[in-house]
Amino acid sequence: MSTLGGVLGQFRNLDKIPIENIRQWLKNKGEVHQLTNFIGNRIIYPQTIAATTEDQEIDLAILREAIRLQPQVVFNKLTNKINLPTEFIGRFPPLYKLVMAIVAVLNLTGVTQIYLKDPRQLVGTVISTRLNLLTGLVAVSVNGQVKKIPTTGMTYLPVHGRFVRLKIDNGREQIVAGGELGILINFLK
Amino acid sequence: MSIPAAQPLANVRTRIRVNQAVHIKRTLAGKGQLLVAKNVEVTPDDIIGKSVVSAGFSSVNLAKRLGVSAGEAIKFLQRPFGKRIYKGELLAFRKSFFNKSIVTSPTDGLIDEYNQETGELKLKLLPKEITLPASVYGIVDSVDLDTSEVMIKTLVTQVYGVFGSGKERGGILKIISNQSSLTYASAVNAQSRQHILVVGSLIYGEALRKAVIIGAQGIIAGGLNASDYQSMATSLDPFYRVGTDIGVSIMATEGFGPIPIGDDIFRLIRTYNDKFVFLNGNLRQLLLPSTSSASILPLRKVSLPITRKPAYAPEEKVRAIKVGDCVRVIWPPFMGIQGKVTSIDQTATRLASGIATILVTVANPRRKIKVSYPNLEIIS
Repeated sequence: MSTLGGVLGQFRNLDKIPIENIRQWLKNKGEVHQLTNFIGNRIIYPQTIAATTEDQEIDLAILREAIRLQPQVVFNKLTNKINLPTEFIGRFPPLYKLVMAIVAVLNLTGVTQIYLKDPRQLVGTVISTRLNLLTGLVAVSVNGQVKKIPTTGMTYLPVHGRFVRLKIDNGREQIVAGGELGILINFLK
Repeated sequence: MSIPAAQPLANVRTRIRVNQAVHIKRTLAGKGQLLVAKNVEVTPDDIIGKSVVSAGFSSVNLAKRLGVSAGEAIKFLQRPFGKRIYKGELLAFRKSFFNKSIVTSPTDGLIDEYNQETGELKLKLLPKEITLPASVYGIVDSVDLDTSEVMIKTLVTQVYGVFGSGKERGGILKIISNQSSLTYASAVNAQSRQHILVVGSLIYGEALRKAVIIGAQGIIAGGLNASDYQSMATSLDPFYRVGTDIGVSIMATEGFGPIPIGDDIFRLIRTYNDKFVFLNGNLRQLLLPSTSSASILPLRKVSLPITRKPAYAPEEKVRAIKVGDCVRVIWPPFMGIQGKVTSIDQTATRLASGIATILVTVANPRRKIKVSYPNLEIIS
């Protein structure tokens, strides 16, 4: 029987990620040698889990940069779909934060559906779009209900319907999938 | 919270294996003579080979010491080339009107050659005779005159760490700090030469480099800084590890960063202080030869094939954690602590990190803690 791997054990070359790439995501930067020791222990004990919020923040930063190096683990470029292994969700709850962390490092365009593996299940959609707006807020219509959201970064909409009517600003209305996750609107720079 | 369907699984790591029959390789330094034959039984103090090695060169700048030009200095040499000279004996002498200059030999050696341009006289240090002791109780299984190697079948206790670097080296084990100390360069000194040092929870990079310069044979620590290890091993990922050697064999027993050497290993190696042991960093393996002459008896019945295939560390297995298992904690907090499983929760607990997991109660004489099961390893 093979040894236990864990989520981060699915990625190779974690020790080759520049340490500053990981530190950029952390609120508390800490000492570089402590962070490299942390990463070293994650590599030799990939099955372990974070007990504290600080450790989880570091793990999420490592996951982001690992996906940046190996996007194919979660993203199919041909079909423009994100496929999340089930163990990712238990390891990095809640789901919307995990997806936001992943989307931050993938160069997504247009509409990207998000699936869970085992069993295969559509859980939501990422809309990546660019706006030329001077104001900080934009109107988004979700099933006819209008709300204002910031025009930078990502906004998460917990919309769980299977078919959701979505319209951003003065764009055309489109039908996208909600689900367990919902909809993530990703404004590109 | 509902009960997860799967049992709490953990890796089973072999840390100690007692009474293993293995081959120890003893190699003669330099050209010499092997004094044993196959099937001979040996004890640690038996000399199994002798060789003569040159210790190198020394030099004296005759011209400068005599106060003459390089071309002239050779005339004042008092011994012919190729002759032996001992430390303190007269090497060169020059008497002038005002004073006399005396040059004595700085060391024992042979007068080798003189450089007419620089005025340097080279002394070849006298060759030294070196003996090779068996260092173990065992039975000679092969003698290779071409490579000057003797393979001795012996009974050992094998100790495995989590990572390391360096080829197999033998030396006297020396515990220079306690289980949880940090080791600085000042702790490594001339007495460390030829020894395998046990240094506590962490050895700093500067101390590592000093150990190499001084000629220590090996270092055993609870942890190493990842940056120091990466500079010697090229990759932290075991998947990409290849054998490396920086001049000293190193083994970490617990992980990266300062982590006390585990109780199981420290308790055992304490009994081997000042005894001859073998450390193979690339296999993360420490071999503790039996100190009893009776260990030869079972070896007489054991046939061990001699193989050129590289040895490997035992593979880890996976199974469900059970009450009564000996475990070690492999993630903070409490990383490195060992104990017995006294209970396993039936329902999951959500940790501060947000992850829901089953907690396991681990107890040892000093404390009782609850740890999430993925952060445990079963020790065998």
